[in-house]
Amino acid sequence: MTLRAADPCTIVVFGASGDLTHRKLLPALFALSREKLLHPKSSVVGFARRPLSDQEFRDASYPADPETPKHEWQRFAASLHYRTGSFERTEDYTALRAFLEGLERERGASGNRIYYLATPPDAYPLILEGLRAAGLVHPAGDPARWTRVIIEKPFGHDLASARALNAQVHASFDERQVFRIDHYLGKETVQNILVLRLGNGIFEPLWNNRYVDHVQISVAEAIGVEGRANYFERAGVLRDILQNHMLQLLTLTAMEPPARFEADAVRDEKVKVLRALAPLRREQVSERTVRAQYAAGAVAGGAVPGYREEPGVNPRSTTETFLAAKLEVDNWRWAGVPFYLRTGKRLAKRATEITIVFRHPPYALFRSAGCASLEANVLRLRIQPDEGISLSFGSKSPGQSLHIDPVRMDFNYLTSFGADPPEAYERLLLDCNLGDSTLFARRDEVELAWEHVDAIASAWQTDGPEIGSYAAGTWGPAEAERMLARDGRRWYRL
Amino acid sequence: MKSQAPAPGADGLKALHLLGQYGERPFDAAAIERELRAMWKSAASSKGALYRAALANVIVPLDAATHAPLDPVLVELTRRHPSRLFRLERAAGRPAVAVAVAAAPTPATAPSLLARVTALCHMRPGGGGLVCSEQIVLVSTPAAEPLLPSAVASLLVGDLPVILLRLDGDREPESWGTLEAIADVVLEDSATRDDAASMAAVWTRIAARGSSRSRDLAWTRLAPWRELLAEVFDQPDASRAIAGLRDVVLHYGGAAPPAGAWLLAGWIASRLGWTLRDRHDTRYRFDAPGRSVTIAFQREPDVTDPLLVAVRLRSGKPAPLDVVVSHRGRAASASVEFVAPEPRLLERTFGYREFAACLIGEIHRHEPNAALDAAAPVAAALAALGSTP
Repeated sequence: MTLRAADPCTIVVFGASGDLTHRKLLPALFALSREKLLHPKSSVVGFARRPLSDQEFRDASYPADPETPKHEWQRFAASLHYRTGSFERTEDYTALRAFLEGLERERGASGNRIYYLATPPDAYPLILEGLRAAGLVHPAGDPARWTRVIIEKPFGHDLASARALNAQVHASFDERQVFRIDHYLGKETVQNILVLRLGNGIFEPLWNNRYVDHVQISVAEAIGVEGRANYFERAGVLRDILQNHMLQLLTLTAMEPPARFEADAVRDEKVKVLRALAPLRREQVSERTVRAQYAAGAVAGGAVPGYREEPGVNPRSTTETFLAAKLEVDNWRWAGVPFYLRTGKRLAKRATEITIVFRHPPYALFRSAGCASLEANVLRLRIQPDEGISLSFGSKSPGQSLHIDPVRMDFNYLTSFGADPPEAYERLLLDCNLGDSTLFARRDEVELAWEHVDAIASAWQTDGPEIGSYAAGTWGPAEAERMLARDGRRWYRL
Repeated sequence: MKSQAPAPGADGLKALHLLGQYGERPFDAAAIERELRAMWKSAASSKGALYRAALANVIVPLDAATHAPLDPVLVELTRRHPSRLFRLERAAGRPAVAVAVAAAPTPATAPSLLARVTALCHMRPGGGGLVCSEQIVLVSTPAAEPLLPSAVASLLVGDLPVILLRLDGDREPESWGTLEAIADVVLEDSATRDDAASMAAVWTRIAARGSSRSRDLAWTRLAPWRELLAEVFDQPDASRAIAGLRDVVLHYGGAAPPAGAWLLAGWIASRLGWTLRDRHDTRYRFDAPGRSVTIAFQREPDVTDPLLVAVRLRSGKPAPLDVVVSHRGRAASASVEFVAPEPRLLERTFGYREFAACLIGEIHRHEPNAALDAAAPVAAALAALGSTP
C-alpha cells in the first residue's frame, strides 16, 4: 500500500522544552521530513513556559547523530518555531493564534493543525480550555481545514478522572479529532500482530482455545523511576503500564478479525475484547494477582538501590513496581485460555513480548521412543528490543536414534529487511497527519480499560495480596512464579 | 566494521572470520545491543550472504589458565552450534591477546566492567556465505565481579536455552554462583580439578541438581570406555562372569587418579548394584550380593598425562574371567586382552571425541542421564575416602 500524501499542517507541541519533545517527537518529525512524508509547507511550533528564541529551540533540537545530513536538517530547522507562553494565560493562546495564522499565511498552509499535548497530565485541562477559548479549534467536518489533538498517556488516573477528561476534550473536540496516543501501538511488531494473524493463512485457524494453551504478555523494564517518582508513586505499574500498553497488546492479540481494516472497525473489535475481559472479583484478586516492589540489587551490570530508597519515593511506599495478573477473556474464542500479564521495573532486562503457547498434541506418539517431554510450540512476538517473531517446534536431531530437539524459526526485522523499523512516534505522527486513528485509543477503550484497572486497584486496597519484594535485576518475586506453577505453567524467559 | 581473513593456527580456527570488533568500552547493555544491531545492519548491506544464527546462549567464565586452550574449542562450538557466546574474563589475570583486540585502558585505570562485541563467522560447508555467532566479551575487575551475572542476564536471547560452562567452578568468585540461577544447563568438567575433594564437589553438585540440568564432561569422555566394557560383557564367556566379579583395577597416568577413573568406578559399582563399605589400604571394598568386591586404582609411572589407561576385571569360579581393556591418548582403537578363560587379544574401535564434540553432545541432550545420576554419588563417596595409600 502506498502512502497518501500528508496535508500541510502546523504541529503545535505543548511542553516543547520537555524530554519527550526532544527525545522522541522532534527526531520523529525530522525523520518524516527526511523521508518526504511531512508536507514542505508544514511547520512545527513549540510552546512552553521556558523562554527560548526560535534559534535556541532549533539548536536544542539538533540531533545527536553525527551523521545527520546538514542540508536536510537546515531545511527542517527552518520550519521549527518556538513560542514562550503559560498554559494558564488566555492572552498567550490569543498570541499563539495570531502567530499561527501569520505563519500559515507566510508558508501558504491551509490552517490544518495538530496540537500535541506533551505536558504533564495536570496541564491537559488548562490547554484544552485555552485552545477552545482562543478559537484555535476548528469544528470537525470543516472542509477547508482540520484540527486534531494528540493526548499523551496517562489519560486520567482512574475511571472517574478519565471520564472527566474525556468530557473536557469533547467540549472542544469531536471524537474524530482526538488521537489518544500509546506509543506501543506505533511499534512495528504490534502492527504486525494483525498482519501475522489475519494476513497469513496458517495462524488464524489456530488462534483460539482449541489450540492455544495460554498467552503471556510481558513488559519488562530495566530502568527504575528515573526522576518520575512523584508521578510513579501515584500510578504504580498498574496505571502506568497495565492500563494502557498491556491491555492494548491484549486486545490486539485477542480481538476478532474486523470487517474492514479501518479505524473504527478495528477499535470496535478491541472494545469487544475489553468487554469480554472477565472482571477480577475481590475474592480472586489475591490468587490471580501479584504485586511487589524492587529491593536493592544489580541490573545490567550496575548496582541499584531499592525502590523505597529512590529519590522522591516515600520510604514507606506501597506503590507496586511489579505486577503479575491472570486474566480471562470470556468469549467463544478464548474461554478457558488464561492470559498471564506481568510487568515490572528494574527487571533483568528491557523486553516486551507476547508469547502464545500452544497445546501439546492430543497423543504423545514419541513417548514410547523415549521422548517423554516435548516442549510446547511457542510463538513469540518480540516488540522490543530486537523486534521480530519466532516460532519454536520440536525437530528430530540428526542421527540414528530418535531425539527431539526444540528448534526455532526466527524472523528479525533487521536481518530480514536490512533496516531498523521506524520509530513508533514517526508512524503515529504520520497517521495523525493523515487522519488515520486506527493506532490510537478511542474514548470507550480507555474508559473500559480503566474499569478493569479500578477493580484491581480497589480490591488491592481491601482484599489484595500484601506487597511483596524482589531483588532488582531478577524476574520478579517468587510469588509470580508460584502463580503460574499452580496452573502447571511457567513464565517464559524474555 | 572489520572482517578478518581466516586466522592461522589451530585447526578449529581455520575457518574463522571475525566481524565487528567495535572496541572495548564500559559496559552498557543498550549500547551493546545497538552495536550488535549496527554490526548486522552493516553486514546485511555488505556483499555475500551472511546469516546471524543462535541456537543457545553459552556463558563461559574464563580463567587465565583455561583461556588459551579453550579458544579453539569455543570457535568449534560456534561452528557446530551457533550461539550467543558470553566470555567472562577477569581483568586481573587476562591474557595479553584479549587486551590487544582494542585500545583498552589498562585494568588499573579501567572502569570496573568492560565489554566488547564481535561475531564469529564460519564459512558454510560448500561455501555459500557465512554463518555468524555473536560473541560478547565482558571483562571485570574483582570489585565488579558481583555485577557480572546481571550484565549477562540483560543480554540473553530470551527464547534460547542458557548453557553455563563452568570449567573453573572452584576458583570462580562466589557471586558468580547466581549465574547458575539463570542457566538451564550447567556443564562442568571434573577433569579440570586437581584433587579428589574438588572432583567430589562437582559430583555432589551434579547429584544435587540432577542430570537434566547438570552434566560432567569428564563423564561424557568416558562414553567409549563404558561402551567397551559393556561390549566385553556381551562376549558369551564374560557375560556369565558378571555375577562373580570380585576385583576391578583402574590404571591411570599422572600423579593421582583422574576424574574419569573415579567416575568409571562409580559407574561399574552403581550398575552392578554394589554398595560401598570402606577403604582398606589402596582398595575400596564393596558389598555385592553374596560376596565382597574391591576396586583399586593403580598408577602407571610411565604415563604422565592424567588419564585412565586401562581397566582390569577379574572374577572367580564358576565363571572365571580376567580381562584387561587398554587405551592410550587419542588412539582410534583400544585393545581388549582376555587372560582367562581363553587367552585372546581383540582390537576394538575407541570412539574418542574432542572436547568441542563432548560439549555439543551435552548441549543437545535433553533427557536426564540416569547412569550419571547413579554413578556421580558413588564416585563422590569414593573420592571422599581419598586415594593416598
